[in-house]
Amino acid sequence: MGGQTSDFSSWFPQLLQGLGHTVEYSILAIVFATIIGLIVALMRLSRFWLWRAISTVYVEIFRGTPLLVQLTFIVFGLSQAMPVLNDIFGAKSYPLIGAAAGLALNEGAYITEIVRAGILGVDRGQREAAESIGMTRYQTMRYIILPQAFKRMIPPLVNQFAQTIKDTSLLAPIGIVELMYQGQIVVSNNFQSFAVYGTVAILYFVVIFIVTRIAGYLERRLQIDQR
Amino acid sequence: MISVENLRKSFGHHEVLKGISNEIREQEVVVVIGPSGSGKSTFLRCLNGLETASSGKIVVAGMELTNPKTDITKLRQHVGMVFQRFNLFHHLTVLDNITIGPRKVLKRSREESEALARELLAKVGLQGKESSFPDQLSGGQQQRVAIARALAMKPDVMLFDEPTSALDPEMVGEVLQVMKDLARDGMTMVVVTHEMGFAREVGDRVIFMDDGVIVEEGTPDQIFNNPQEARTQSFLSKIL
Repeated sequence: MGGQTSDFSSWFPQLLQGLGHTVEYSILAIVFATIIGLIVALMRLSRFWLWRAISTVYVEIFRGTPLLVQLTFIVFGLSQAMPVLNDIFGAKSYPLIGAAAGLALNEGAYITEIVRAGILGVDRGQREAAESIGMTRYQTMRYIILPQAFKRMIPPLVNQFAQTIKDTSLLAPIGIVELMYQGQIVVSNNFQSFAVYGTVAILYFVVIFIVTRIAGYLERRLQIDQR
Repeated sequence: MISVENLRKSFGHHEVLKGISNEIREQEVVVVIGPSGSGKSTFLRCLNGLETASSGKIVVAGMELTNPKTDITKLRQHVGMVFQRFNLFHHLTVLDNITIGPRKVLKRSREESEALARELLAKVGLQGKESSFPDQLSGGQQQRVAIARALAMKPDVMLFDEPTSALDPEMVGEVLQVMKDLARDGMTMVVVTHEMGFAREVGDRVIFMDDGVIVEEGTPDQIFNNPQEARTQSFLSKIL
């Protein structure tokens, strides 16, 4: 068995299959974390105390505990306490959905803080000028504050997206198939830790490198548009 | 046009406005002068609700600003404001800075708003700058765009908060000229400024404020040539 699985061409496709899942979880987590981050940031800046309280508790909990603990708790802990989750999503699908949700919630807490800082970083005079031409709070946020906040949010967001991609490797210890998990499976068959984990690292690096390059290009485009 | 009764405003324990009362008539140009910290900017910012009055009554264009039931965004559509630091929207072109109010707030069409914007740009002498971004313009140009942006809402009254204080000296004239043209066209204006020449030439009435109260008011001639109050005399002797 060792002879066959130690061949690069035999185990590399397995890693690529894992990489596919890594990309899926990354995209899901990034999309939902961004939506969560935007909504919760607006809640944190709300005038209504209940929104502020809920959003603050959320951010503190997800920033204040390790991601691996959160994922394990959501996938195993919650499904034990609430078997209905398995009934709704199916016992096979729940761990996958729970894992994606856990990732999104965790990254969402960090993105909340990025969005909040971006909004607060826009000069107060911009808000006053918008309000003085009769814009509502919503219009001011939508047309004046957020477009300017977004530009300054890009670098920290890209950072967070790269972090999210790396964090998907924490799905391996809870038994969810992705790149790191596939690496561990391959090594348990052929014992080639150096070659396999080295390849795993390179694959993560390539994905993140592509993402940061695209982001850098977008950022330069936005700069040019305004100069 | 604007009626103010016993307006008071405090920031924490510090009372900035200590009972201001005044009537500003239609087409009147009122210039507010006074030392820094006298409350003149706060007074102006209370007139469109950027600052909330602690007590007193303000009625603008027939709407009671100090009544919590009044739709303040509706009221602000009738009150133009020009800021010391211009506050143009950095992410929008000159044309979009001017049209965003008519389009998003008044729900006018793009064509109609852009036609109006081009007309206003011609009025403030900035044809050809439609697609520039604010950061590409000089301070004087930015302030003229800011005036056009406020005018695009077709306001009943224009408030100016030290509109030339952040400008290089050689650009003050072009902004004051636009304001003089506006006054000549019959716009109701309240202007907080240190430009005493403008106050003399264009003002129908000058208000001198100090320490949160109106110390003295009158025609420019009365205030500048024959001030009655010692504080007014002392202030004018320092700046003229």
